Amino acid sequence: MLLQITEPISTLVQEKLSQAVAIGIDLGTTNSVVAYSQNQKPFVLQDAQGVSLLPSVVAYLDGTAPIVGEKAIDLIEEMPDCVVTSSKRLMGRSGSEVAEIAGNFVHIMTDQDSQDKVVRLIIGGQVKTPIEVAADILRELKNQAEVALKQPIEKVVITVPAYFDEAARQATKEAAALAGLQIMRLINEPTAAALAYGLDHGIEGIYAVYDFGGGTFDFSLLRMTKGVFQVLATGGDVALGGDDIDRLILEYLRHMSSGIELPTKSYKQALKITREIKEYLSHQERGMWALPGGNECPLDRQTLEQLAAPLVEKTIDICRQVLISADLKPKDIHGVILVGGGTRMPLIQERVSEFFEQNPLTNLNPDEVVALGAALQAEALTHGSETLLLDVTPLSLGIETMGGLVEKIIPRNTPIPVSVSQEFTTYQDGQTAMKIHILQGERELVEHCRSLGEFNLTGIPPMTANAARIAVTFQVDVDGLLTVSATEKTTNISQEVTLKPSYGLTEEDYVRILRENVVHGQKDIKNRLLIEAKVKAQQLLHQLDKAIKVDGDLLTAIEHNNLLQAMEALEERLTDGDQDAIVKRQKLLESISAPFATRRVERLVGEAVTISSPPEK
Amino acid sequence: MFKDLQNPFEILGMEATFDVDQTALDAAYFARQSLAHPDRFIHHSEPERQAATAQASSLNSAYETLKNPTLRAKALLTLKGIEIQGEEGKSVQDPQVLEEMMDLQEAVFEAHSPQDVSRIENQIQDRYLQVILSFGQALQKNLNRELPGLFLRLTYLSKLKEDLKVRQTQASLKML
Repeated sequence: MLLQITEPISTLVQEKLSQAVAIGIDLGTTNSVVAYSQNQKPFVLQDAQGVSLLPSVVAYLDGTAPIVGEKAIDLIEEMPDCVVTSSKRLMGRSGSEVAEIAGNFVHIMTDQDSQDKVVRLIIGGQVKTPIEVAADILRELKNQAEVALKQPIEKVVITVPAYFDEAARQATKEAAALAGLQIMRLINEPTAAALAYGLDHGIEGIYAVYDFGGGTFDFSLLRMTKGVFQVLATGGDVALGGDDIDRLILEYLRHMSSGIELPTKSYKQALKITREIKEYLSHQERGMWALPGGNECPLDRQTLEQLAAPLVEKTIDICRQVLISADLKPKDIHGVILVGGGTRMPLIQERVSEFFEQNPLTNLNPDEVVALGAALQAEALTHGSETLLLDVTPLSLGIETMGGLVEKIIPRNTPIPVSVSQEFTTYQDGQTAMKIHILQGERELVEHCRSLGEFNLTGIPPMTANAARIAVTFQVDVDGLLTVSATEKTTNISQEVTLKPSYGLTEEDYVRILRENVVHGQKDIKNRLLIEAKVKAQQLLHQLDKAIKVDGDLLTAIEHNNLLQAMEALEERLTDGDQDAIVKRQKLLESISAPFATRRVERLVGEAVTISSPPEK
Repeated sequence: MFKDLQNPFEILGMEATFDVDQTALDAAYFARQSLAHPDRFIHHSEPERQAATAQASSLNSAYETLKNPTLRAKALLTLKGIEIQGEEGKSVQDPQVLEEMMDLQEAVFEAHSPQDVSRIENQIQDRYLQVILSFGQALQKNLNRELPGLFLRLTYLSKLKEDLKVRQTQASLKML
């Protein structure tokens, strides 16, 4: 967006507010889809050639912009080292973890500093994090949507696997920011699919969503009642998907064409073949395939199903576990929604039907349904809606206690947003600091859970053991993102931690990426930041102005006065053009107006509830 | 127990009783969450979005508390100012309860065949329903002296039920 600094601020604000167009994106392991919804009618935004699915494949060549999609796939055979596929599986992962997940990422940097947690890939001679690869895919989808809708787009709802952990969600958020997209909400893929089904077909009752994607498996149980989509329980595996079936087929082919070892270089070519095999054998009983190196190999559906069966059974196990945790039986389920291209496999449809004792729903295209749901949510968030999505945390969150044990603070399947505080104490006399180690997972031992980060609460006044009262508060917001803060209650020493740095981009990454994507000179970037700060400030002033007019009676005379003063102070800074000063006063105004905001929200909620509920007995 | 000294019944506008109607609870929760959910405040100022998140969070906690009989019982005891045994360093002073629960625990531990597990499961479920009934009655009749012991039983029994659930998951996985 090109804005002139000389333009009157109020027009800027109006322009920002009128850009009420938001899209929904399904950022998939194998394919990505962008959709848009108008009057609750979502549709996929296709590319210029009329293609709906954008392969999540990116090629990096010297001196050109990243190449995304089908064109990148075409380059796989010629220059496999310049192309990256399935990078979603690496989101929020460290180098050492990645080595365990996959064999098809031939580009992983091996000499990584252990401090440096985010995995780095060398693609076409360039160093890339999975976050940047995701950003390049998102940028392509953004362009595709802008061409289709003929207007600039900044706002987006992006879907993530329900079972994505904190680090992977943060990574997705960072990718959107790099692509110049503002995330209105991260929503879970199965929830998005249910939304698309529910609104389309007006279904009610308890539904199961079985989502077998390219790289991840999710299973969610939802209760749908009159526009409320309530997730009851969710489970999954972030390293189980169609990719794994591909790998098994490949191993089989290797085994069958024994003697001729497929070189690493043609690994991805081979993966391309395995995908064709899967598709072909979904409709045909048997076929013959030409392999790189001139070999031919036959494969029939029965053999394919034998190969895939253990993985399919794994997904059924997860379904069973989630049902038990929700105290439900397969017969309690009113319908099973199939999501993800992988569910086209006849074997999966058979097993799902057998387990749930009913035929699954497949009215909507399993490749598109998630993006359609995301688009519906994007519309709901821009224009308001009667629909309500109530999601849950997929994994338990806790902290390390004595003896390497994990104390759960927020159990999995807790509805979000949620805020839980728990008190801990010191175990030594005179202890002045306390390490807080945050973990995610279901197991009891620290070593079996995922470490999300550590911080030190310092400055605890020396007391006898067990005297200090340290309240650790976990907050999970509607995007499923965690904030942890700790306060020593007798002295009110408090610390807040954002868990971003752990597996995300470092300062240096940002500098490097900015340098690589230099579009504006240094001064332009400064100007842009200044304008953004001004727009934000103007928005807040405008919102507060309105709030005071409506609910001014919630303020005491002194509060009213203080608020007006802080507003004036911010307004003054808008004219003399210093970004830091504006941001500072904005923050001050936000904190001064916080009690007013709380009272307004309470009134809004309270009043409407009193009106809508019948008089009490 | 009550974060920021909030009462879950009050938050959801429900009468503070042990017998909570699930449909009424859902309706109260959905009605409030439809208004307080941060999705409804996306165009509001940052402080108001945060206030909405706080409001939605306390609705969620209240809902989770009232949905679960053990947590609901605990909330009612807290409201009545009755001390809860076995928590925060307070010792359990009811040897009879302890003995009864240890017997059940042992039975769970020793149950191996599916029939044994299912028998003990039924036994625990029956006992659980009995205790829930007694707790509700004691509360209604203001038999405050009986409440802590009943609550203790309730806690143990729901813990045993959870343990059995874990075993059920494990068993169903082994069956394959």
